[in-house]
Amino acid sequence: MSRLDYLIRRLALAIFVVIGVLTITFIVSHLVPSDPARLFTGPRASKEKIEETRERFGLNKSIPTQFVKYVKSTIQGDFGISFKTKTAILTDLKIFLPATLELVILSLLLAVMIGIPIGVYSGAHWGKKFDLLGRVLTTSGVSIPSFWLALVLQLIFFSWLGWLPLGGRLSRDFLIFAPIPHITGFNLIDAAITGHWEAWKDALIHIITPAFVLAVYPICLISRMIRGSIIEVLTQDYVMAARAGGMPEHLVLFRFALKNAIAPTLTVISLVFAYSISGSVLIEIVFNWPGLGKYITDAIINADFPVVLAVTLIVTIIYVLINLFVDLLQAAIDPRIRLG
Amino acid sequence: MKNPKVMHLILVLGVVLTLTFSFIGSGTAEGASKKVLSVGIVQDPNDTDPRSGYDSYAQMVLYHMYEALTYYNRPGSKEEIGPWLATSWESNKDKTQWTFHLRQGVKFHDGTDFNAAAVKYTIENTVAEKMAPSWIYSPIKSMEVVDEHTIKFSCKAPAQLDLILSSGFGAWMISPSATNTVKWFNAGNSSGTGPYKFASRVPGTRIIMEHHKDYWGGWKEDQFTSIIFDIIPDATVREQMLRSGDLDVAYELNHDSIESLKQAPGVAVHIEPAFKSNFLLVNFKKPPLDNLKVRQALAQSFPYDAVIAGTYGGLGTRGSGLIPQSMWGANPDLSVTQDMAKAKKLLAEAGYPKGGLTLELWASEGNTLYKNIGEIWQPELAKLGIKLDIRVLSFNTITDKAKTDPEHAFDFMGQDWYPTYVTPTDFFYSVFHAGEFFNFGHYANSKFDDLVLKADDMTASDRAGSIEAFKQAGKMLADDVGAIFMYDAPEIYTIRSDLEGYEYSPGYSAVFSFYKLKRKK
Repeated sequence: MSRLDYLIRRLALAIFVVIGVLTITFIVSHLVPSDPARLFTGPRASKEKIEETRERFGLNKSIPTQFVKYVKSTIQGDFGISFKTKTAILTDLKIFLPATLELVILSLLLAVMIGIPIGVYSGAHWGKKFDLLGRVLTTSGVSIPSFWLALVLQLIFFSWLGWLPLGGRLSRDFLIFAPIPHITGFNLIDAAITGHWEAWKDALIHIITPAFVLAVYPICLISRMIRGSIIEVLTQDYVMAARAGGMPEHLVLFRFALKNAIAPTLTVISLVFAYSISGSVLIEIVFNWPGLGKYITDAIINADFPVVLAVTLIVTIIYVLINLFVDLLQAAIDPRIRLG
Repeated sequence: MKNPKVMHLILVLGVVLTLTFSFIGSGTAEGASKKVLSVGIVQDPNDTDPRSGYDSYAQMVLYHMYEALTYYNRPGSKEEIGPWLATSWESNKDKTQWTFHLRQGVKFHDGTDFNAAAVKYTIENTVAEKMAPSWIYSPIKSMEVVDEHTIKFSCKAPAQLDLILSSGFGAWMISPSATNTVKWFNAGNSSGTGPYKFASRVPGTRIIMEHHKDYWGGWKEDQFTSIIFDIIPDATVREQMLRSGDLDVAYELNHDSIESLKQAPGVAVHIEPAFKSNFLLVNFKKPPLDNLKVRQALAQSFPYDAVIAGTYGGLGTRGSGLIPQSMWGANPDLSVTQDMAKAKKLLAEAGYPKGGLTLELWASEGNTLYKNIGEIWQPELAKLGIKLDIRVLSFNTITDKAKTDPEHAFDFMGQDWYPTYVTPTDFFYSVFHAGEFFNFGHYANSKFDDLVLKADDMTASDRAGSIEAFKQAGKMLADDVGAIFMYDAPEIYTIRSDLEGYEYSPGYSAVFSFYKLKRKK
C-alpha cells in the first residue's frame, strides 16, 4: 500500500473516531441530570427568563435535533457559548489551548533532554552505581503522584526558598503594566518574538516547575526504555564482535545501541505527549495554570456541557493526529515496519 | 570525541545543567506593585452582567464597577440609607411619590453623562429583559425625567424606594449608549459609573480592572489604579499567598485557619456581621415531617452549639428564627436549645417512642458544609432511634426532585439565604411563601403569607409596625418549625495589614470598597 493511500485511509478512520467520541460525549452530557438554562440564567432567575433561555439555545428541542444543530455549527468552527462564563468558547480556547500546549511541549523537551542522557549512561554502565541510583530514581519517579510532587516542590521553592512563584503563567506586574502581546499564545515564543526579555524570563520561571513535574513521568519512562534497549543491544553477539574488532566504545553505543533504541522511544514520546495533555489537568489545577485542564475541570463541575464537548473534541483530534504521525514516522525510521 | 571519558563527562554535565536550570529560576517574581491590589477569589463570577448577576461572586466584582442610587449603611450609622449616585431624595407622606436628585458630573465608563434619562433607561431595560433581580422594581408604576438631574417615581402602593434602590443586586446604573447584552458584559466589558472598569477577563482564571479616570470621587496618588482578581479554587493556596504577601485580599479561607491567621504577621482578620442565615429546610410533603411534633422533636435534637464549633470554627452566632439577628425585623426570642429529653418526649407523643425512622439530608455537591453538619447531627439522632442518611447530589437534582416528586425527595435540605435588598420580605417570601420557586420544603400557611405581605406593605408607611409584624411572622414560622434555623453566618475578610481605609456594609456583604483602600507607607 502506498503511503498516500495509507494516509487517506487513516484519516477517514480518524473522522469516524472523532464522530464516535463526539456522539458519546454528547449523549452522556445530555443524560446527566442538569438544567443548562438555569445554569445560564443563574440560581434566582424567574421562570419566564429560564424558558426564554431554553428557547434561545434550542434546549427545548429533542436530543437528536440538538445534536444535528451542534454538529453543523461545530463543522463551521463555532463551538457555541459557555453556559457558565457566557463567553464564546472559541475565544476561550485561543487562550487555553496554547497555554496547555506550551506546558506539554516544554515538559517533553525536558523529558527528552534529561531522559535520554540518563538512559544512555545507565545502559552503558549497566549494574554500576549510577545505574542503580538511576533505577531507584526512575522507579520512584513513575510511582510518585504528580500532584504530590507538585505540592512538595511548591513548598520547597515557593514557601521555603522563595525562588519560584507558586503558580500562574506570569507575574501580576507584567499582566497589568507590560503584557506580552498575543501572537501565538505561547508566552515564551511571543515574548521572544517581541523582544520582551524581562517578561520572557518571568514566563520561564513560572513554567519551569509545572513543566518539570509534568516531565517526571516521561523522563523515567524514556530513560528506562533507552536503558533497556541499550542493554539488550550491548549483549548481542554482533556487538561483541564489533568490540573484539576494536570498534571504539562510543561508536558501539551510538551506532548500534542508541539507533535501535530510538524507534520505540519515539512511540513512547508521542504517546506521552497525548498522555501529558490529559495529565496536565491535575498539574494545571495545582499550579493555577490557565489551560485546557483547568477549563474542562470547571466545566465538568458546573455541567457546562458545550465546553466539555469542545475540549473533548479537540483533545480527541490531537490524539488521533499524533497517533497517525507516529505510525508514519516509525515507518520512515524503521524499514521493518510496513504500512497497511 | 575519541575519548569516552569526555563523552561521559558531557552527558553527566548535560543532566546536571538541565536539572539546575529547571530548579533554580533566575530570581523570583517581583512583589505586586504598590498600585495594584491583588485579590484571590474562589471561582469565576457566574455572571458579570450588572442587570442579572445574582450571587455573591457577581457582587464581588460588580460592586467596584457599578453604583446604585442609594447606599445601605452599616447598621449603627446615623442614617440607614445614604447617598450614592443620588445625593438627596424626598417622598410624599404616603410614600407613593418619590423624587431623587442625582449627583452631577458623573460619567459612565464609556464617557456618557449619568443623568435622569440613564436611570430611567437602566430600570426599564432591566425590567424588559426580565432579569432575575428585576422584581425589586415591581412597586414602580412610572418614571418621569423632571430635568437632567431629577427623576420622579410613582409607585403602585406605598414603597420604601430609597431602601429598594440600595439593593446589592440589579440596581446598578448602566450607560444607555453601551452595547449592554449578556454576552457583551461577560466578555470583559463594563458600562457603569464605578471607580473601576473591566480591563480584561480570562474565564476561570483572572479578571483585571483598571481605574475609571473620570470617576466622580476623583483620584489621589496613593489609591489603587488596578485590581487583579486571581481565581484560585484551593483555599490552602489562597492562604499561603496571603501570608506571603502575594495576595492583598484572600476570600473564603478555611475557618479552621482563622485563629492562626489572627496571629500571622502582616495579616488582618475582620469578622463582620452579615445578613446571612443558614438553615435546614424541612419537607412538609413527606411523612413523618408533616407532623408538627416530629418537626419539633427534631429541632430540639439539633446540636446547635456543636455545629457552630465544628463547622464554622466557632465563628457563627446562634440564630433565632429565619432573619439574621443583625438585621432589622429579626425576632430575638426564637432561639432553640438542644434538649434531648424534650425531643424524646415529643417524639413519643408523635407516636414514635422508639424512633425507628430513617431520614435523609440532601446536601449539594461542591459544598461540604451541610454534609459535615449532618455528620455532627447523626449521633444525636441515633440516641432517638433515628437514622440520618446523608446524600450528596447536584443542586439541580435536589430541586428538580423537590419540585416534581416531593414525596420522594429530601427530608432535610441545607440552604442559606441573604437578601437582595435589606428586607425580611426577601427571606420570608422567597423561601417560605406558598408556591414560590425557592420554597423547596413546600411550607404553606396562608396566615403567614398574609402577615408577611402586610408587614411588607407597612415597611414604607409604618416601620415600627412592620418590624412588629415581621417578628410575628418569624415566630409563626419558628412555631411551625418551617425549617431548622441553625445559625447566622458572619462574613470574614482576611487582608494584608498594610492596607488602610477598610470599610464594610452588610448591605453588600460579599465586598468592601477597594476604592477607599490605601497601602500604608
